Amino acid sequence: MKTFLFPAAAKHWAWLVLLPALALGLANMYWDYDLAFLSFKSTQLARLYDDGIFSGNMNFTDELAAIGMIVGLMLMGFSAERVEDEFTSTLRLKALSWAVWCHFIVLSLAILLVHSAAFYHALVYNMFTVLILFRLRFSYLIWKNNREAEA
Amino acid sequence: MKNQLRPLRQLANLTQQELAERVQVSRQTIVSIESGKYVPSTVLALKLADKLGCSVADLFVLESDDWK
Repeated sequence: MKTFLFPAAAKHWAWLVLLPALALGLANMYWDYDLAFLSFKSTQLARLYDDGIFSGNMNFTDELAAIGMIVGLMLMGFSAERVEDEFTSTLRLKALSWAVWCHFIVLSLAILLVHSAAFYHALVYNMFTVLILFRLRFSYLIWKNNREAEA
Repeated sequence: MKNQLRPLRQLANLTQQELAERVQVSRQTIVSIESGKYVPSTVLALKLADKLGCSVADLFVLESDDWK
């Protein structure tokens, strides 16, 4: 079974996308920082979407940050390893399964324990946990396997 | 599943790296198969058998646990 992966070099590009997007997202979330050129008036948006749900001015800084983080994390998680073979695919699948389990355990705990505005923040962070946990777990499995191979 | 990869590789006078290169996998994959932590796909098992000049049945042997 062939799984689509980005070239190995894409892993380096991932940081260039992820770090600015993370900085932008945090600045937007905690200091209300907006990029002026991403502001649109409701009339412009109404033309764009034609559904009348936009009642005021909208700024797309947080959307840009979120999509940047998703792109960065996807590049990081789904770039080929230097030697990509079936064993690496097995490790990737194990890591992905582990990350999905953790993601939904964390989400379930958040549903039970976190409420109101804090729950909104928990949901925002949890959008990225599956990709972050997957990449961390995959790197750990690769590292552990390399260490055992060297022993 | 037991495997005889290490003795058959040594019999063929190949290092783990050399065998890995011949079957186009990483050395870590060979290490994991030899240590019994990873069971390769049919394609890789056939490649390994081909490069070691033996059959897949010589390389891999089912154990009683595999039938449970």
